[in-house]
Amino acid sequence: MARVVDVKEAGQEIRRRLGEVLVLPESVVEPVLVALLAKGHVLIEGIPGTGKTLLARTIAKLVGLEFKRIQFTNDLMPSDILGSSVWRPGREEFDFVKGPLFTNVVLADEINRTSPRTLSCLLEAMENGHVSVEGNPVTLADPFFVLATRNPIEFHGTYPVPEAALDRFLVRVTMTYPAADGELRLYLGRDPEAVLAETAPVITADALRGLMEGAHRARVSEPVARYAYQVVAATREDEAIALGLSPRAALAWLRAARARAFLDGRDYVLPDDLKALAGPALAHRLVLKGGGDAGALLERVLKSVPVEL
Amino acid sequence: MSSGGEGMRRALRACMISLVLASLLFVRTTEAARWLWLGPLFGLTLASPWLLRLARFVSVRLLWNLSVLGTFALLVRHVTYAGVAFLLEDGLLLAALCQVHLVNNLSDAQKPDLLFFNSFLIAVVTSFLSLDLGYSLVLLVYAPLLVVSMQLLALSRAGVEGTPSLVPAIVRSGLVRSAGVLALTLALFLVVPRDFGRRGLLGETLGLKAPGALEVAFSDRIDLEQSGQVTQSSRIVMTARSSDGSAPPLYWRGAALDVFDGQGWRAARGVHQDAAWCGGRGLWTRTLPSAGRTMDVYLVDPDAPRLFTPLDARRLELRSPDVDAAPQPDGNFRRILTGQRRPVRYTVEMAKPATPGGRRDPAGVGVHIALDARAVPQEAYDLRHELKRGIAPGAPQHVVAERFRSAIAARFPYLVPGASGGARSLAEFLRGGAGAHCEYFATALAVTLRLEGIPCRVVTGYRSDETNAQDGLLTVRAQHAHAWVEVLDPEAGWMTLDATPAGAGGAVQARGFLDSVRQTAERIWAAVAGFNTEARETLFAWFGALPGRIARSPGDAALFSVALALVVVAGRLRRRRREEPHGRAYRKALRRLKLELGPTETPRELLARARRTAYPAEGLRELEVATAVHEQARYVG
Amino acid sequence: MSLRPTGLGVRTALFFFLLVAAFFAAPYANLFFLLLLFLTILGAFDLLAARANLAGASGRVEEIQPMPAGAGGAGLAVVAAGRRRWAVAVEVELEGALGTLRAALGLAEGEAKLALPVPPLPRGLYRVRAARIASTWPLGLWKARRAIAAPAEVVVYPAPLALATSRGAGGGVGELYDMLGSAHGFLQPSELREYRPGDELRLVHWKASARRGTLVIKEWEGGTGSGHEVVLDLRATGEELEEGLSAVSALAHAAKEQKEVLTVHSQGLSATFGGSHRPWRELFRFLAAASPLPEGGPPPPPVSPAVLRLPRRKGAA
Repeated sequence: MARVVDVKEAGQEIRRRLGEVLVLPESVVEPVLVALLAKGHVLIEGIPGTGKTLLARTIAKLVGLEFKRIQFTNDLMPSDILGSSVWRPGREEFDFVKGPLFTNVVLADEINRTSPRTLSCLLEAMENGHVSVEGNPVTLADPFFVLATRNPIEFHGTYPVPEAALDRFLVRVTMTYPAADGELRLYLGRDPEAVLAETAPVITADALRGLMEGAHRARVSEPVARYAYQVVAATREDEAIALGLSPRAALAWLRAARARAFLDGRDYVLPDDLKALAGPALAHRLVLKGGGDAGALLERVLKSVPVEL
Repeated sequence: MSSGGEGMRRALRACMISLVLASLLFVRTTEAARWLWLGPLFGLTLASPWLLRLARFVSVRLLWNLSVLGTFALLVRHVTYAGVAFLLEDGLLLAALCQVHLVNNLSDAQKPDLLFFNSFLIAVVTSFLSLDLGYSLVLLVYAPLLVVSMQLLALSRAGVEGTPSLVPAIVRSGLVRSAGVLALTLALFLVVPRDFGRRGLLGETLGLKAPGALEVAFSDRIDLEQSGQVTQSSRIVMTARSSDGSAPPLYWRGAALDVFDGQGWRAARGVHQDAAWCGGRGLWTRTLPSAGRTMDVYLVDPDAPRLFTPLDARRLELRSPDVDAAPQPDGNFRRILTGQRRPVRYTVEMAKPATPGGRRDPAGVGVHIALDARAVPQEAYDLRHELKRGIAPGAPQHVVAERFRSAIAARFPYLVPGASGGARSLAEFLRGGAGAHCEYFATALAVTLRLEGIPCRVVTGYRSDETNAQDGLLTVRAQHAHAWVEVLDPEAGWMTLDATPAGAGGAVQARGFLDSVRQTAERIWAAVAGFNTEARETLFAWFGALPGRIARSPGDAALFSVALALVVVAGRLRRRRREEPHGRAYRKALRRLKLELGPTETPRELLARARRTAYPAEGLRELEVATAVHEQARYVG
Repeated sequence: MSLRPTGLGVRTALFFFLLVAAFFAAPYANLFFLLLLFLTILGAFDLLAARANLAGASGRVEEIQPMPAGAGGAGLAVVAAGRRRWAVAVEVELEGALGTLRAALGLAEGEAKLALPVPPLPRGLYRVRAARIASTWPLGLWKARRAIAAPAEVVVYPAPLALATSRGAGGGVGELYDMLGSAHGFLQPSELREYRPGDELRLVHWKASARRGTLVIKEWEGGTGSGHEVVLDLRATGEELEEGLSAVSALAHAAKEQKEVLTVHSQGLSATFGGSHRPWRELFRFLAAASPLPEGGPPPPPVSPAVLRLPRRKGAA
């Protein structure tokens, strides 16, 4: 029980220090923390320059993890992220030089600029926690946490990311310009880089591993499960939706909700958890008939499903 | 139109047809109409989906209307020659015809209302004519049918285009609803105070008799062919207690009947048949040796026409003032009814049981063996012949009489008065098959005995064996009314001879499970149909005494607690199924705080909303507690 | 919430009182009493259940789009039922003898949407007298009603001119405009002139251009201005006005469809609609409410005489 109290405090401390470095709305911070705890990955959408890299770096530092950034381009090869075997003339043997993927926190920038081949390599790493190098599985770091960014679809030189790939991300958040007062605070405040340099980790990587173990233990009671099902079923019946939510999507949603409950110091899930995470965890898994974003539609679905007391 | 709307209309139409069938069944229970009449009506109702399709042909419509008019004319003609007595029956048939006409002709828009009213009217009218179990069964079908039909009609009038699952849901809710309404109706029926004896405006002017008012009770004549509904009433007529604590006699005589006219028995006039009573002013005696014991009799029934006495009475003394009685030639006491209706107390001193040569018939035996040949059906002769077989010629009279009695008791089935399927004449009874009640048994025995030349008479009165084991108090109820035979033995004088099968005072023994279920249902329905002031008081007394009884008797207490536990468990299960208890407590708190939870709002969201709107701090705290409690109960564990 | 008996309810009450009278006229009978009690409880129960069925429910009529005369349309209603509720109908009572618009749901739960059909109506503004959710569930003896929010009026604008709908539906507003002008014998191309930058391409006289080898503009009497402009003079007989209104309606329809703008001048109105200008709804509302003015009434605002004038005066040609 003591650890449950710990996680709440740790979560708040992380939020506080994150707030010192950069101004982010709760709708971004919470899903990211939830994904971290639930061993999921985050897809960040938004315009450049809103602090995506800084967010990833700060998070890595606050939980005592190693951080690396990979800029995806159309000529990036799988070996560029995995690493490659290098001939060591002195020792007369191949030596595997690990790529940037071998770290705890990876910021995969602009993933829709790269070829499907490289992307699938990243996705494999995200899905399994290990990668194949020359036929041999190589285990990645633990924890392994990917924050990927994607440019809006209208941008030049982008490949579409397939639905199945999007499904790999536990949550998707959208970063926009900060609110006026937040942005003003940013201008007036100290240089974020300097603040980040001074910031000390809130918890150690080992402690984080411990918390991640506890994050999926929160209990899902029957009414909560029923509520989740009703929402999922409603998306399958909605006329504007081409493809409703799959059972896997629902499971991912519940996993995120468990982590959120855990983060809130509870060992049971509330419908509130599901509601709060419906947008981040579900919107990117819905395929609409006319294309476009499913956020508003999800909002509507949530408005139509009663919460049973 | 969508298929859902069509489904709803089809369901409504099916309900309409079922309602008409129920109406026809109601009419059928009264036996006012024969199958000859009702059969075609049933057929036409069942065929109405096809008939409606044919109705667009002018010739079919013409034929239909002509036949309706023709039937109507037939009914009118029947009324004119059968008289007003059949007005109700013919009216019923007409109403049934209307129902069939309605279901076959009117459009969906106007039909249902008329059908509802007409069917209810039929239910009311048939309730006057038919009180048996069949009616109650039809009523049990009719009530849910009416409710479901009304619900379907309400939905279809609202213009609802239903989904396929809607109709079963409506039917389910209608069944639950009608069960609730019926239960409430029955509960109110038992407790609402009302005047059971009210005769009503029409009753007073036309002399109508309420249905169910005819109860089994003493009568100073026997009319075998009297028919109609009779109810078993547990109204107490009198009580008797022996001075020495011994059990009082079973048979209490009210009238002795000597003349048989084929349809029943009545008293012979002016013939003294017994040792005459002497005395007056409330005290009468006759010259018989005393047995030394006395009965204290309390005649509760204020309207009883007789003072009931056992056969072996030698002295009668009235204890109540302002009451008078007159001894009758047949040895019984007629009560002189004054304006004051009140119970009577009297004592009866018993004579020694008949001793040989004790009481002689002063008027000879002629009147006791006389039979009008025209009044005796052929079946009686046949029966006598059959009964005589196996009896040695020259057997003593009392042996012959006893053999006749036991043979008749074993030969014919007993039915309570008014039961359906009972014999309606002596000939029918004697042919066997149809059972009947005590009057038929007594008549059968008396007639065969007289054919045999044995002097006898039929006696009406009460026979009760309801003696309290502790204080020896005999209770006589209206339903104990009975008829039996007295045989004049040349040696011993008058002897009681009861041909009615033993144990027939109440119900016949049930044969098998179904029979017992039927009997129980019949008893319950008879209690409803014959409910009266006294029944209600008994019920209230029973409920009033319940706590005491439960407290006293461990068995009852155990039964009661088991029942209570079952109710509680059922309630719990129901609640769990609905998963409402926490919700209910939470909603209660919301009502108290005058907050409303949106349909898609969670308790935490409501709490946040309340905080935003600066809800008073105290209420906020209560809401916090309610939310936390609800969460704990609902989502934890 | 208000409760009132339905037609069936009133008839049942009459029937009930007749039965009560019969009950008291006849000698007391147990079963009659039982049946009477059953009917009484049924009625009372229906009253309570009808109340309970609507208690806590609400709803609203979100919008009723302006619709052309004689075509009918649909509004959008929302029933906020929350828990399960049976047979909830949304009713919108219109002023005048036009009756009530209604739509019903068999089983409502949560927040349910339903289309509210509007029958074909003649041109006009129909004030909404009352809007409510209503239910006769369960037995149809009582009707429970609850007022809900609804738009203040239903706008039925004139049906677009048949000429326009048959030929102009696919074409642009300009084509329709020209057609209206020529059909009414008003606008005649007065002269041809050379193309100047900024002229609309649709004004190019292609035949003449081909002849001359340079772009030639077909100049309409007084020029066209930007977008489309029309003057609606209400000083007309009823029949004329209806025709004019239909024409404007057709223009507005086409312009709305093509995402163009339309400027309308009339008595009490001089505005541009569509795009970032004023919403079309206002024009439709004006058209719906327009009524003829007497001959000596005020003239419409003065504009260039070249602007299409409607309605066309009989005998003015």
